[in-house]
Amino acid sequence: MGSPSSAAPLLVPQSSPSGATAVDFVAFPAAGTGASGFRDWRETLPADWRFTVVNLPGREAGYGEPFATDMAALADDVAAELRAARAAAPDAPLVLFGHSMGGLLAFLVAHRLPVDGLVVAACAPPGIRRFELGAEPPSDEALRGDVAEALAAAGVSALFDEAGEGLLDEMVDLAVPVLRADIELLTTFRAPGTPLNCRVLALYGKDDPLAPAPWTSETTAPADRSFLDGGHFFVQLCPADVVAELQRWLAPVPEGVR
Amino acid sequence: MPNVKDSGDAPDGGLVPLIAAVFGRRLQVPDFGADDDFFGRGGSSFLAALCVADLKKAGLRLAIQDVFLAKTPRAVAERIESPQKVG
Repeated sequence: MGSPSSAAPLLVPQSSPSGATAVDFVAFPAAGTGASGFRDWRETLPADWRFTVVNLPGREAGYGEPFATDMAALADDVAAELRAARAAAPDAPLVLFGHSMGGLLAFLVAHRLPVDGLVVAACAPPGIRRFELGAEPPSDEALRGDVAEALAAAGVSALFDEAGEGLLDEMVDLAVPVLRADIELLTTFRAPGTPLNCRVLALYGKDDPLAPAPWTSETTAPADRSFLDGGHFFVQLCPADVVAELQRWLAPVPEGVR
Repeated sequence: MPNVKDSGDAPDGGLVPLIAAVFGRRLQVPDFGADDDFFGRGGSSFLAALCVADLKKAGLRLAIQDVFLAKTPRAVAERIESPQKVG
């Protein structure tokens, strides 16, 4: 199940502190996106945090490679790369941050190696299914509609009216297979039978229709919940608010809590 | 990973520097090199689309997918010059 050696790495380093690492921060993007979903975070995170983003197979630097088809195997692969990357700063607290589908993947990775905190944004706990899965896959038309809607919500559509002919359609064409692969990947998600033992912070957008269910039953450590302005994509639209919330949450952590 | 070595030489004085300049401007990477990877230096599909829009305005014929497949200014230029080339 491991990735072929020629495949693009799953972990994409974004920035690294020149001195000691205060927090080793690894972000998992939402369905349909790649590492660039966290592009605006680099300038926002504290300078003493090491920042890494997960880029799933088949997108961005890995464009053209086969998509992942099993979430547990994917979590194994991410955990293996993460273990190797941790060798550089083994003592820095490791915090995983997952947006939407990325939250479920981060949750699986947190079951595979010791982490100090798991943050899940716009992500319902494992027992609650966001999509109606298993019945029949959504049509291309439906997915095209979803992608176009997301691009419009992000203000991209408006830019393209002036920028060029057909480019919005091309973006939708490129995004639909990725989104379809991620929806199929989600159908393979199985919750591990045991709870985590790290702290969990669940972030929800105040305007997200997603029900803000608590994550308390997923860990034996404290699970907190916070509400931020915005909808499902507050992670992209208001990174500064999210980072401020993360810093608040991490501040009281005593050293070495596992 | 970005390939920062070798970025200065662009034997083809035409398309390569133009594409590198557009990538650099859109990605806010002023020294974007001929062999730098678009995604390795922070590119996204959205930024790829903006670059393609810029390059179309400059008279080039290409699609966003050309940036996804070729990734570097030099390889994108090669795709434009021989569009039937695969991968």
